[in-house]
This record gives sequence, C-alpha cells and structure tokens, in this order.
Amino acid sequence: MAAAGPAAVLVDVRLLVLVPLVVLGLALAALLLSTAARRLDRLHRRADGARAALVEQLVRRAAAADRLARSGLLDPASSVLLAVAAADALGEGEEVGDTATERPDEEGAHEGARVGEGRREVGRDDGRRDAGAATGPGRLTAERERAESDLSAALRAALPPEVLVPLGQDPSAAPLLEDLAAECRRLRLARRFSNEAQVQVRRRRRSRLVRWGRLAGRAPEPRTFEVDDEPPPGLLP
Amino acid sequence: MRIGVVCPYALDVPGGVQLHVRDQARELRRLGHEVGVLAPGGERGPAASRDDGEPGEPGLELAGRVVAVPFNGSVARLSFGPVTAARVRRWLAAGRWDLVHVHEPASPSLGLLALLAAEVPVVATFHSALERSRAMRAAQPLLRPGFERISARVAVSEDARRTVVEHLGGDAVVVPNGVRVDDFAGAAPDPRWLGARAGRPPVLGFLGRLDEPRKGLAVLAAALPRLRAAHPGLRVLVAGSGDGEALRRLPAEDAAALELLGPVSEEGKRALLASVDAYVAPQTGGESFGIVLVEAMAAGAPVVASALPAFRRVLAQGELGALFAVGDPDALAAAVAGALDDPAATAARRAAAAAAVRRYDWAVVADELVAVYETVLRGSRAEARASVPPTRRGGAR
Repeated sequence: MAAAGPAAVLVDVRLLVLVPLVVLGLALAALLLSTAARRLDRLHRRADGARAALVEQLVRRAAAADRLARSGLLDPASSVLLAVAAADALGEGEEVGDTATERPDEEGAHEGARVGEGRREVGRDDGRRDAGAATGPGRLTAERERAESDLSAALRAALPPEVLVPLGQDPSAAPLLEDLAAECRRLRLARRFSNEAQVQVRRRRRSRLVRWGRLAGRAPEPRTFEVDDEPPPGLLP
Repeated sequence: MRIGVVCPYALDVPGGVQLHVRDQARELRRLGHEVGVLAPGGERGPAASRDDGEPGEPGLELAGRVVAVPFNGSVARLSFGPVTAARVRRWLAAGRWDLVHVHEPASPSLGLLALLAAEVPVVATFHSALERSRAMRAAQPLLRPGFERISARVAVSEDARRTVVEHLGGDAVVVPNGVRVDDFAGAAPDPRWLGARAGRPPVLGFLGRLDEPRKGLAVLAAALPRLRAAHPGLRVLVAGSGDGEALRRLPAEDAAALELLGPVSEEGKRALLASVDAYVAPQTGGESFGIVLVEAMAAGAPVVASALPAFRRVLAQGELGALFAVGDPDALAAAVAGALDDPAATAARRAAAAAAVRRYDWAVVADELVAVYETVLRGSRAEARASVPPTRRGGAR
C-alpha cells in the first residue's frame, strides 16, 4: 500500500501536465485548420464568382460581335465569318446553363470530344458541385477555349485596319464598334481576374496545412481559361 | 457605384500617387459615382474633418496621425497603428461602399489595413516599379493574407506590372495614370519663362525634388557647360522642393544659368511646361511610368528624357521625344542640342505627342477603371447569388 502511493501520485502528475498540453495542442490545431479552411473557402468563392463573371463576359462579347455581323455594315463574307464564329461561341455558352444533360455540340464534336475528354470530366464534376445555383460557374472547357479564340481571330479578320478606320467614322457603325471595343476590353479584364483567382486557389491548396487537413475536399482543381483574346488592332485606345 | 478610395500617403504632400487619387475621385464623381477618399492626416479625427477638408475634396476622411518614415528609397508620410486601424474599420463600415480601391497596397499604411478589414471586393493599384527586391521578398509572407483579398490588381504601367509579377507572383492589368490633357493643352505660357519663342536664348525646364538623386538634377547640372557653349544665355528653370545642396558646388557661371523656382503649384507647372523650349527628364531610375512626361507632351513641350524603360515606353521608343543614355551628361547635352537645333523634327514629334497623350486622358482612363470595377462587381454578385441557396457548399471543401 505504502509503495503504491508515490507511483499513483506520479501518474497523476504526469496526467496533470499531459492532458492540458494535449488539449491545448488540439485547440491550436483546430484554430489553425479552421482559419486555413476559411481562407481557402473565401478564395474558392471568389474564384467561382470571377469565373461566372468571365462566362457572362464571353457571352456579351459574342453578342456584340453578332450584332455587328447582322448590322449590314460589313461585307457579306466578313459578316458570315463573324456570325458563324459568334454563334459557335454563343452555342458553347448556352451549354453552360444546362448542367444536367451533356449535349454533344453539332460541329467540333468529332475532334473536340476527344481533345476535351479529360476536361469534360472536370466540368461535369464542377456542375454537380454547383447544381442548384442560378448561374453555376461556366464549364469553360477546351472546346469553349477554342471557340472563343476562333471568335477573336474572326474579329481580327473581319476588322483589319483598312476596314476599321473608315467604319469608325460612319455614325451608324460607331456605337456598334464602341460596344464591341468595350466588351473586348472587359473580356480581357474578366479573364485576367478569373485566372488570377483560380491560380490563388491552386497556390493555397498546395500549402501543407490544406493538404494535411484535406481542406480542399472533393472540389475540383481550378483551371485557368487560356484563350487568345487579342482584339483587332486599333479597336481599343 | 459607391467607391471608397484609400490613399497610403498624406494628401497635403505632392506626389504621383496623391495626385492620382485626387484626380481619380474627381473624375469618378463626374461620371456620377459616389466617391470617398481615406488618407493619412489630421489629429482632429474623422468626424471633425469630414467636410472641412480642402475645397474640392468632398468626402475626404483623414485617418489619423501621420508619421514620416523612410520607405522605398524616399521619406513617405504614412499612417498606421491600432488607432488608425480602428478608424479604417469605421470608415469601411460607415461608407457602405460597393467596392474599395486601395492604392499601393504594399506600403505599410492605410491600404494594408483596409485590405484586411474590407468585407466588400477590393481593387488594388500598384504604382511603383521596385528594383530592390530583397525587402519586398522578406515582407511577402506578411502581405499575402491581405493580398488574397484583392479581386483585381491594376498596375499603372508595364514596369509596375512587371514588379507585381516578379515580386508578388500573379499578374495585373495595366490602367495608366491619367492626365487632364485639356488643362495642359490649354495652359497659357508665362512670358518670364519664354525662350526662343520670344526671341531670347532657349529655356529648359526641370521638375522634381532637388535633393533626391534619382531625379537626376546632377546629370543636368553636369551638362551645363556644354549646353551653355552651344547656346549662350541658355536658362534652366528648376521647379521642385529641396535646398539644392548639390548645386552649391557648381561653378558660378553654371549656377547663374539655373533659376530655382522652388515648389510650384499645378498651375505653375502647367505654365512652365507650356513655356519652355524643351522639358528635360534626367531621372536615373525608380520611375515606373513618367506621368510628368505625359503632362509635358500635353502642354506642348518637346521632351528630352533619359532612356529608362518606363520613359522609352511613354515616348514610343523616341518617336514622341528625344532619348539619351541614362546618367550621361554628354548624351543629355547632345540630345537637347538636337531638339533645339532641328525645329522641323521637334515639331513633328510634338504633333505626334499631342495625339498620343489622348490615350492617357482621364476621360479614357476613368472609363477603364469603371470597366475594372464593373467586372469585379459582376464576379462578387455571382458569388453572392451562388451562396444564397444553402447547398453542400463549404462542406465539400
């Protein structure tokens, strides 16, 4: 009895030190993790918002290009070229809204499907995550990138300087061109801001705390949207 | 839109960022936006200074005690500390801003405090092109949580943008500093400052703090013997604060060619630029944009500038003004002589410059800023829409 006494006291002393230390450690870990999770969540939400703004802006640019194509101010060949490119971009845009069904696009399906296979997976996952949201982040697939780059190229082809300069002096064309210029400029902004936000999420997700705590969950790795968004030379100041 | 603009430096000291903030607020108001400006200054506290700020500065709020500290190579008048932080939070809450625009967010002042406290989207403008990177790198981990709040980064020039890319990672869109071009184009020359146009020996102009070596007054002073030899009676108007310590060692006849005007007002600057036969920009570094070059071009002054990357860009590689090797007095003298002695070429450059500066007019620049704001707000609206229905969001992360 007398020999057991000090041993029992020893255990108690150890526990007295150990338990608060463990509790403190756990509390600290919880604090760190929740701070990191909040930071990551904020970045995620902003990245989703910026991407939605980018999708909106892509649609607005295509719509402005379409209006110019249908204005009768361009020669017929340029009009057709531009209208087709705008429709291609807008067609991809419609698909953004329907997250439930996968609609194979009329053109480009043969080559696009194979190229974009992996990306489509990402897109679908993305759609599921945001199902129910009024405007889920657009599925900015590889096909979409191609269609938007094609629209930029079509705009440059339809509006070379020798067309753009006289057109700018035509009072009926000026508002259309101003619209288009504004939308082209805003597209570059929206794309820059969105890509920037996606990269920040990716950078944050690589941090040790986020990886160890599995804070990213099953949210897909954000992707930047890589297109040629160079407007026709001389369209912007 | 309700836009809250945060300036890190006290507005009562002239400087590129401060002028930009004033003009920005005025131009955005002209477009019909509500603008408030938060800047260091005043012991009186925000409530008292609300409406008795300077005339023409409505909506200016002073954030508290100004401290002059060396930062980024010059002495900056900043505001920081817990009292200031509380004032920043109050200003953010009371302003109900749709968006906050922070200038120079890396400076240890109001901008950084506003970044961390803002609940609304933040746009940040980077003004400086930093060459010394070590200090910035050291501060980076401290800056990152604040910088993560920035929805849109704006750089005032390609050089400022490169600084962002290299020092902070990520990218920025370029929206240049604005100039009220018509104010400069319509400025009347001051008869005292006219040279060749009044049939007198030519007059050169210099603007910049006298004691700041990177403004390059020493380079201009060293070129004086050659300049005077080529054009006897030539005068150099030097406008800027500082006591010109370095100029006292000049030979008497060189010193006599210099006219120290001291600090000049905005009107004085416009009149000076409208009068001189050439505006000389001998800066040796640390310039990210060169707004004063644009102002000189807008006022019709032929520009002779050192070939810094930022200046080369503004002068379209020499199409809009003459360039000379950085820090080289002989090259400066040769370039000035070229500008003064070849009126036809100089006139052609002036005409090209008058057209080119329109790109920097506030009317254009303010539109670009509004485009940035609208893009950012569209993103934050989409973000808000997405977070209204309580889906599995957050849990999935």
